[in-house]
Amino acid sequence: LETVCHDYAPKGVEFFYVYKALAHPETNGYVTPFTLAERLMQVKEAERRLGSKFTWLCDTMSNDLKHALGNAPNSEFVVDPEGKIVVRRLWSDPDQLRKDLASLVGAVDPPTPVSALHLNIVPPPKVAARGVVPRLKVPGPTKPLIIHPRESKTPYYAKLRAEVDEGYLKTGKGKLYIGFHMDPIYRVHWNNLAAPVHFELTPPRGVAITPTSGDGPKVKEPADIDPREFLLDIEGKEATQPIQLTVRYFACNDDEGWCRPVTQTYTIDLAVDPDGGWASARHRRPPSKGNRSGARGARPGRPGVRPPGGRGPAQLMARIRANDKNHDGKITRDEASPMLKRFFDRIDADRNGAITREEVREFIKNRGPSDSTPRP
Amino acid sequence: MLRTICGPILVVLLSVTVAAAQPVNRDGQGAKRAASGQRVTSAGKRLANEFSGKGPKIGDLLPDVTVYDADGKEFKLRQVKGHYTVIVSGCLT
Repeated sequence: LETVCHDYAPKGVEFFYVYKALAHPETNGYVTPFTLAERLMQVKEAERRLGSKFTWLCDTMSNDLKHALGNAPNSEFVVDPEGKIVVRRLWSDPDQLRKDLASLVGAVDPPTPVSALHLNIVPPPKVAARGVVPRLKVPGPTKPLIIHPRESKTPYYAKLRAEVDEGYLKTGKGKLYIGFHMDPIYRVHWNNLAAPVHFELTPPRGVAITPTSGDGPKVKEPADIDPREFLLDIEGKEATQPIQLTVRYFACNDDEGWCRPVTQTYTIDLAVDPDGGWASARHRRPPSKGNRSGARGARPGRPGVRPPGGRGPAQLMARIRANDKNHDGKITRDEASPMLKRFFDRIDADRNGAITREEVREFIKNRGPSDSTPRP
Repeated sequence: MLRTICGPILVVLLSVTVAAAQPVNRDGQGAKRAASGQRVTSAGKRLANEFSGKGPKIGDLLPDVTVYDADGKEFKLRQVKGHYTVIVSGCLT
């Protein structure tokens, strides 16, 4: 997409990214912002990580533009000089966009390759240890609830995410997920030398929640950024009032040299937040015995036998290598599937126009456990 | 660069689970992808159906919505006129 911008901006085409509500909160640690200022900080973070030449816009906190454009997470529109829409897509498609613009304003030939732009995608920040507190296993699909952080002079360094499972939504009896996630835009971490995170909640009349308080784990590492998560039992849907929740924790910012206690309160509506996104990273299936990749559909106890369509590194490697149609050990751009073409320049580290097994392995290794590196 | 800044996780992108259901008014790409044998997930179908019935259509003006620029100043979407403009929505995840 950046190459399309590079080629067609000189022809008078203007390019905007609209930064909107997170589609997959928790991926790479990013969490739903509570204020416009925080969403704008995420825009700056996206600019910093991508080095994009697009002009960035930021949707309102009530997600007006997302709703007005049809609620798609990655839609794409082309507007003519009169302001009328001439192209609309559910998902951005740079190849097709290039063809569209060629028909509208004339082709750019040859197109600029991604390698010519020397784009430098910066990894997400990691201010402290990660992976020291095991993630909570949440059974089945869940839906985010609408939460209201109370006004606080202290930023919400740790942000609450609350979800209920389908059992609760269908029958009024199920599970309530409560997670406190350190917001990476503040470059903060938990202070594990102090008391662990503690929460207390008050259910509304007609709703029972068990337990109503909890403490995070004691962690040996002095600092980390893993979420503190709790799975509670919840029963009763006839609430007219929200859940009240108070959380206490200690946060530190090493760059600014402070550690401080924080107490913050929320109300939680027992209503699904349609703009809350889906925490896909949390719902990924854990590794099973004999299948270190944890791929969906893999058979426990049969290492090396992994059906296609899984999501682990081995499956990813197999799927990418399946593009090697002439079996010469390399995948050229012509051989690559449309989907692989979108990743081609990130995988082709030496920019020689062919992907080798080693480059695929390096790409998979570097993408991290839940990489969704922002991609213009 | 990659196709989306706010799509599914990378692995899901490569597995083409949701892309198969892409409706494209201009080029019918969704049907082309379905014909190629790529999987169409229920989530992708739902998104595609929702999108096809919502939002502005070809020939419509952009929504009359005020958003913000990267510095937090108000920006009226309908001020986008006078030249061809590409608008892509996305986020960090």
